[in-house]
Amino acid sequence: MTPVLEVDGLSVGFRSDDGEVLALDDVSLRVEPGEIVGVVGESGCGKSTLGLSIMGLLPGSASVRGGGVRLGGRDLLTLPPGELRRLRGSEVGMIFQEPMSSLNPVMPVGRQIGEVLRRHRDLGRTAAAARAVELLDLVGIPDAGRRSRAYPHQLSGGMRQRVMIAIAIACEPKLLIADEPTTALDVTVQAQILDLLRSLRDRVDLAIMLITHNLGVIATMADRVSIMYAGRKVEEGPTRDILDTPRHPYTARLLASTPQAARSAAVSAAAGGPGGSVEAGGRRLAEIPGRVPTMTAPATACTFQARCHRDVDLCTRVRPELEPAGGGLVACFHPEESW
Amino acid sequence: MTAVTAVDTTTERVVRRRGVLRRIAGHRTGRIGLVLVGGVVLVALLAPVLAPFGPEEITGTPALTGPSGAHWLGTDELGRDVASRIIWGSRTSLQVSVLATLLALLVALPLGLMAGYFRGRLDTVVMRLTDTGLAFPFIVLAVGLTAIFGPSMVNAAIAIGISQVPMLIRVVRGEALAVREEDYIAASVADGAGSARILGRHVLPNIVNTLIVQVTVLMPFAIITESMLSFLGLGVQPPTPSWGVMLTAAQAYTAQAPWLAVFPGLAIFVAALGFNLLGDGARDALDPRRAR
Repeated sequence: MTPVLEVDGLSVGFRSDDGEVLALDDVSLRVEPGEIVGVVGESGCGKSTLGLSIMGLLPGSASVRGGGVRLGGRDLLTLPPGELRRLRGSEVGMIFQEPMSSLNPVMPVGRQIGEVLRRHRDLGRTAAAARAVELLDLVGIPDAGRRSRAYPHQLSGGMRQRVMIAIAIACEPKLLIADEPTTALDVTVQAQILDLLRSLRDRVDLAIMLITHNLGVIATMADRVSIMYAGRKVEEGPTRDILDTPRHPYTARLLASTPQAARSAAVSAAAGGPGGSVEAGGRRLAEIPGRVPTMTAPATACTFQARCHRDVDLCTRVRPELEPAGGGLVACFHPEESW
Repeated sequence: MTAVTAVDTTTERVVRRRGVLRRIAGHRTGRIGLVLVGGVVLVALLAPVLAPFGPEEITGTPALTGPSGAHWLGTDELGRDVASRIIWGSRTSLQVSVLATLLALLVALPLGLMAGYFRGRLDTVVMRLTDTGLAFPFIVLAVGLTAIFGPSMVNAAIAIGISQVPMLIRVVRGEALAVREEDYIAASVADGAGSARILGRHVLPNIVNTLIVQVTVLMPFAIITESMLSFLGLGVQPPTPSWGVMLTAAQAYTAQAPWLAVFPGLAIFVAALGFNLLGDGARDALDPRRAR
């Protein structure tokens, strides 16, 4: 089966006052139909840049330095702007972190959904409006007919994120890029939105690229996960493997710095077992000393080396490449043997 | 008492039709402005009914007669009814201000929107032209236009409209600059919307409130400026009544017949005040930070 999305050795640079900053360094990613792939990393690791470059939405200061992005076998980076615009919203949809501000405040939500349909599907005003109500119903908004005439400020954050999802899937795209879709929402609402995304994957065979910093979200959602650090992918594999037996020291320490309750829930959810035991608080969370380096050139050493608890000479001289390990890939000379 | 009730019912009817007007009417200052402006518009529309005499009609009454039962605001130097001329003159004032404002919007809106949304070289060019326009003295422009095309109401309106274009471009551009950074613009780009659609469906509707406020600033400016141009002989030509023309004629008789200057001046004052209050009300009532 052809993968929905293939990112192949993508490098993206940003112009800045201190010369070029490399936001993505030789990143590859595959998303199969109906698969949920998580992309995890802390702020500035390049995960959002990855999403934007797939959509062709990089800001003017950014440029692709190499590699390719193929959507359903078509090369997106060489596509003329008009073609790319036709793809956006119809073949690939995107939802953002901020449902509070991602809707036009002066247009009823039903019409905002209808806009996409009229643009990509050539529907008339009435047909688009009717379909918009169906979509609102599909994303679980009660009383969809009346809500479609509501303005964004009359809806709650969760409702608005549902509307954003309705817009993104209106034209039945094969891929949905969700960039921190639940970060701005209450925890209970987060769970509902994640449930919705999962049910959409099952019902309309939607592949989802889930960008997040939240390992708990990944545990309950993703089939496979890629861990990013400083613009490079450091580890990739089936979610369960990664959470159970992280091999890259960064992944391991990222897990160790996650609050215990969330982590045990995450691990047990990934293991498919019953809810993990919640440890009583009081223990200080492990933190990762130091900060993410800013890359100005392709790495010549391990990017995580400065923050790694092991001090190995090799890591400062040679860049580790992604090598098969367990069920996935890891870029480390001394992967953790067991958790 | 009955007069007040009548005004209230008409405002209420207008108010029910438009959400914007309703919000302005809910604001105390805005309500006064709405009543004043609505009054001026009604007077202009109903001029043939309201005016006891024709605008250029020379009544039998002697010239320069003071206010009386037959002529509420007196007669002018040719024995014409001042009240009737002020009533008919409201049409000129409104026509000029509407025409000038529309012209300014027509030029400034697309330029400002595109400059603010696209940025880049277009923005630079538009902004430098705007600077040039702002540096150009308005009276010289008005005199130049009249010299070429002759003095008339339309030419006065064109001059006033053009003079307001640079300021309006700046306002529109500033708003477009702010709106283009909003998340919903990025979201609609991600949904595959083209620039034209984004400008028309997302940017423009989100700056309408600012535009409404701008219009309420432009209108009184145009009314006052029309009076000024007519006063200088660059605008409406006698015998057509305009509040400015009436002021010009009145200056020779200020001592003998002060009402000739007082009443047109009062009319200008009321209309300008009305629009300004309406603008104040609109600004407060439409400010999303207060509304939400």
